[in-house]
Amino acid sequence: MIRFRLNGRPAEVDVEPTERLLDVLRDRLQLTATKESCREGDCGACAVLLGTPSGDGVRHRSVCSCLVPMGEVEGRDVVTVEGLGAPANDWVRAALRDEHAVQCGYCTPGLVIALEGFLLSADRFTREGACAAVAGQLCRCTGYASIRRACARLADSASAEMKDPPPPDSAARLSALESADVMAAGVFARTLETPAPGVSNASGASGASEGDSHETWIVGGGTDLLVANDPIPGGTRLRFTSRDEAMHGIRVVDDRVELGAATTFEDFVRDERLRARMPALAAFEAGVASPPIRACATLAGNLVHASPIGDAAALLLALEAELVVDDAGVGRTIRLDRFFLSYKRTALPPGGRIVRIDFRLPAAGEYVSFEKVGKRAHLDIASVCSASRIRIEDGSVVDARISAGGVAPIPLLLVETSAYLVGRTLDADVARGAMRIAEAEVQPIDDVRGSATYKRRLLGRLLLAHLLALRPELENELEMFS
Amino acid sequence: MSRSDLELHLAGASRFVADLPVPAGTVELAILGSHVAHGIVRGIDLESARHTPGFVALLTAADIPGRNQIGGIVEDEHLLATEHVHYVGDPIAIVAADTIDHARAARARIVVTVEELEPILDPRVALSRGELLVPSRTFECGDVDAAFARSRHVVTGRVDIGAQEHVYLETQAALALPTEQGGIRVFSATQSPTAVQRVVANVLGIEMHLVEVEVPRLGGGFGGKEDQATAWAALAALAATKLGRPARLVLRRDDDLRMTGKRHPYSADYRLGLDADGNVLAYEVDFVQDGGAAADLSPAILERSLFHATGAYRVPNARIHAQSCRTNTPPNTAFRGFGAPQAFFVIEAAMRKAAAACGIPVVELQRKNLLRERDTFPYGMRAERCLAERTFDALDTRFDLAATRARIDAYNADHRLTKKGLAVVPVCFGISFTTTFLNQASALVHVHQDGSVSISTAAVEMGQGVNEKMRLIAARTLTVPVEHIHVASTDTERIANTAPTAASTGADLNGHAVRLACEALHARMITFVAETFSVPLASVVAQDGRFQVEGRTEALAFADVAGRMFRARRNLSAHAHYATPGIGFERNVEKGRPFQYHVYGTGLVEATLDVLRGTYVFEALRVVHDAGATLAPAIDRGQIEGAALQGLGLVTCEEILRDSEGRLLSDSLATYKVPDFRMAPAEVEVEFLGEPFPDGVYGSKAVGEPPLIYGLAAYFAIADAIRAARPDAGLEDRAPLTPERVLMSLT
Repeated sequence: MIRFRLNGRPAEVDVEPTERLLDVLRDRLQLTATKESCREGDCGACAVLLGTPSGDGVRHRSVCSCLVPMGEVEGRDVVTVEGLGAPANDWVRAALRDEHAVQCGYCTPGLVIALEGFLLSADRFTREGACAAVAGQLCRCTGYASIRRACARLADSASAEMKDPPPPDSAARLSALESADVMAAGVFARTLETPAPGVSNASGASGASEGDSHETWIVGGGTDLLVANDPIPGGTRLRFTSRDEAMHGIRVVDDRVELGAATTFEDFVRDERLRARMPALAAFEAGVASPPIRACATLAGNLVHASPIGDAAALLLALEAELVVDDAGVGRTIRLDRFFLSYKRTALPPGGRIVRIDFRLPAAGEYVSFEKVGKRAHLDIASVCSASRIRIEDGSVVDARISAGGVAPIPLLLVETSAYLVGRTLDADVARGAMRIAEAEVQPIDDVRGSATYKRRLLGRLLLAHLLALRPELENELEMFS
Repeated sequence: MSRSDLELHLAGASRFVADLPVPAGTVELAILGSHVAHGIVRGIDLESARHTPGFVALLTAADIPGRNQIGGIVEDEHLLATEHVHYVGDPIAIVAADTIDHARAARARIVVTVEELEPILDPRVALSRGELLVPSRTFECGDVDAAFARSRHVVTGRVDIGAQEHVYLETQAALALPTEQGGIRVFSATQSPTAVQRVVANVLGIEMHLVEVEVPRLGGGFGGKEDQATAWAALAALAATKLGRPARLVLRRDDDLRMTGKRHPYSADYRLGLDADGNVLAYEVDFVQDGGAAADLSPAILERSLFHATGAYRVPNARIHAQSCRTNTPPNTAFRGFGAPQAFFVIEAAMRKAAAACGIPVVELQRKNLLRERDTFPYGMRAERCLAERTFDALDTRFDLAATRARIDAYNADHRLTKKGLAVVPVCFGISFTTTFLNQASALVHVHQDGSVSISTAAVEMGQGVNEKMRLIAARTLTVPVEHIHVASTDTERIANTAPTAASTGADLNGHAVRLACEALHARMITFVAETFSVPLASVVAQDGRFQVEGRTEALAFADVAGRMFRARRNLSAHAHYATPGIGFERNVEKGRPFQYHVYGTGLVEATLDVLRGTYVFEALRVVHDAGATLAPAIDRGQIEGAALQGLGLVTCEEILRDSEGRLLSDSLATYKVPDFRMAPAEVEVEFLGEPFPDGVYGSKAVGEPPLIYGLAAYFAIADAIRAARPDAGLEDRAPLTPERVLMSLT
């Protein structure tokens, strides 16, 4: 039995914790405003707001309900379009209506949810912020121009009619939204009055009882868990890192960063302390997933999944990250560059789990850069991604760590390329030499994301992009762009 | 009060087929498709599936009581394979279970033994082996050989354009409910209710009057549900009939991607001849269309490629040859534009090559050769009310092409790592089904005794706003406020013998029918009021939902008149039929007037190329479009913007990939990428030309498909930027121009 609060009312459904929230909404509860389309987090049609306790309030994030297992919903708040009240009293719907940003209507509920999420959680009511909030919603009808206009209208009216920046505190923000008649905030306000029914901080496994023969899967966000179209084997126990307080939070002590295993991509890219020292996080944010996926997916989950094109793996390899692993109650540290053994196989001991990801912030003279190219610039899996951390002193490279994804069975640290750069001055010859080594150091394959030849060539170009970021004058020294 | 579709969508209250409540006992279906591209089925082993949880039944071709045939134009397509399978995903059996997960789990356990045959996956190979779906066709005008002989410049080339998946966000869906007398009621997400009705009747071996097909609305169609919604509806109907219980078939995205056809890939060879001044003298093109495993709509799509081969240009001498080839992929099908985008792509590529050969800027060459009034198309029709030059010039006036080019050249001179590119594409698109008999529609309009109005037509609402346009037309004709007009679902019991909602004609054909029905009703109401007050007809003025009788101070409300008419036993319902006048085409000579009219427009795309990474972004899409006197500017603007982005996706990021065995590799939205919010051009400007079209519904013109062609400019804008980066880039004309192809051409 899973208990939670749905559209402000207590709900209870007798389902396995492995079932999808989307299926429960549509099939069990007949709430069909939330649409199924891709069933793997690529389109946003199934977006709902998921409320989790945060500080004194509740944080409502737009998530893809097709990827959220019911175990994650226990003790939480869920709001669907049905819970938002009449469209007449709602600026989000007014903006979409006035700009005619609705055609077939199938993506509309997801779009509404994404924009309500923007009103509930944006730091500022900017046009760009509203656009960012809907950037993960696919629409095949409008060409997005009307959606962009609706975003502008919503942001403009919200910032004109309300205090901007809005109060960060959820209760204050909700009452501001309510009193300005921006939205019927009641359904959200209820989430503050009383906690949602169900066990809100259950850290243990849910599903079949302990002691039976079923497997326990540790779920770090779960955005890859339900991507496969077929259900998770019955009886599988799920243990959610999000439920474990100890796994939360990003600690920054001097130059050391400790990412709790429950750190989501959104937590990571939003952290001002990290952004200040690593401007490359902006490129990372732009290149990685959509807002509803970033809201759930964790960096630790991305590492354990061990996909050769994992974006977090590439970045963290360059950052020389170490993993703190809980191995049957014993803490161990594993260097990330020794973590990936072979295709989707890692050094994580059986039954073990990542507790923390540690790395240090870039030092003075040290630059971090992240590059990714796929078929589509955003919301795509990389053909090749690459990250670098390079330190330059007196014009020459004293330390270099360059990683790449999509060019080997595992996320790869380009050891030879990195070594080659050390001690050299970044000029055209060195750049060409590094590209040559990098292209020889990898073993990409032909697949749906590109030919092996392309991936090699692309890696060379991304490496060059890292170097150009350090030394823009290289542009004029390389005849390849003449 | 009736709310618009838009309001329903915003409230989350609109219902699609998969949202309809299902009766208790409904079985869920999954379709077992062939795992090989070509072969002979030798056996189906069901044993281990039979014992999976929730399993109900497996049905094969042997269970079909009627005909196992779903081909629309050519009878060459089975519903379920009997022996031969022709593509990966070719339906072999229906698996019924209590839930869709159970049906899929059971399906996974069925073992099908297939004797494999060699598949053909390349249309040119199919052509060399004589594997044509229908006989090839040729359009010819003028003296082509003589014109080439006197051409100063002759350019030749090969152009390839890949498949495109529809990615309607609502996947294929049907719910079938057995009715009395062995009949069936089908809720289907189809653009062609009557095609579904006809095929279901054939498959079940019953007459069409026992089959009712209802379409609530579609979550996008784009042509993908014109012919290819039919099979799923027929499979659901078959299961419901055989099992005697309701059956629902909603394809999951993976099945939908693997089992349905796409926009046709084309490969073409062309030759274009021009005089010394750059006037086009002759054009010869040979289209090789990849039709997939069955004819589906390919012959009609091929025909539209023939009609649009010369784009928006005046080509006095042309020879256009087209052939539809049979390959072992799912039958390719209708997709917005219907063979025209491929044809436009070829001639636009040819014009660019010709511009280089003549040493004339592309836009100058384009402008010089645009269609003018009374020019003759290769199929014999003349251009009337031709707006090709006017839209082109309006775009130039509004956005100054020369200044834009100068700005881009200056930018390119200043930048090495990024380059900008610009391309203009003029459009001339024929409106009417080229299969003449389809150009008909009917409408049934009831005025209820409370004055509310309901309308049924053949049109299917799929996001194109046809319901709202019908409301506007009815409101205008009946002179009542729009909120009193309700547009009902599309249902074959209310409107029979429907043409598909396709070919951009939905609002034209059904709008005329609605107008005719409403005019009849309105005339009856005026007559009734005049009779009631014994005044001449001219003394009754209808306005804003009221009837004003000259000399009387008080007006009669529309509802009041409706109530009085009901009590006076007057007919408050009207059915009207409309058939497009003046069209026809003689296929034996390939000449005629296939179109009621043409839509014109010109579009521009500006792109920036990242020379380092091989990626690109789009700065601007600017369009001047001829929509006649638009009925609903916001709807038409949305159609233009949306269609253009689909065209942009077609030539950039959307790439259908299959392996050497014919299995789809781009089989999810993770691997098949449609444009997202960030990929859309940062600036989108649409200007209407706004000239009323006298034969249109209140002066309007069709809008659905023509603007898709503007998106092709994205390809040529990137190519323009590539040439700025590397004048020697060996870029062949092949779409989509993915970042991979860009980088490979730059290095």
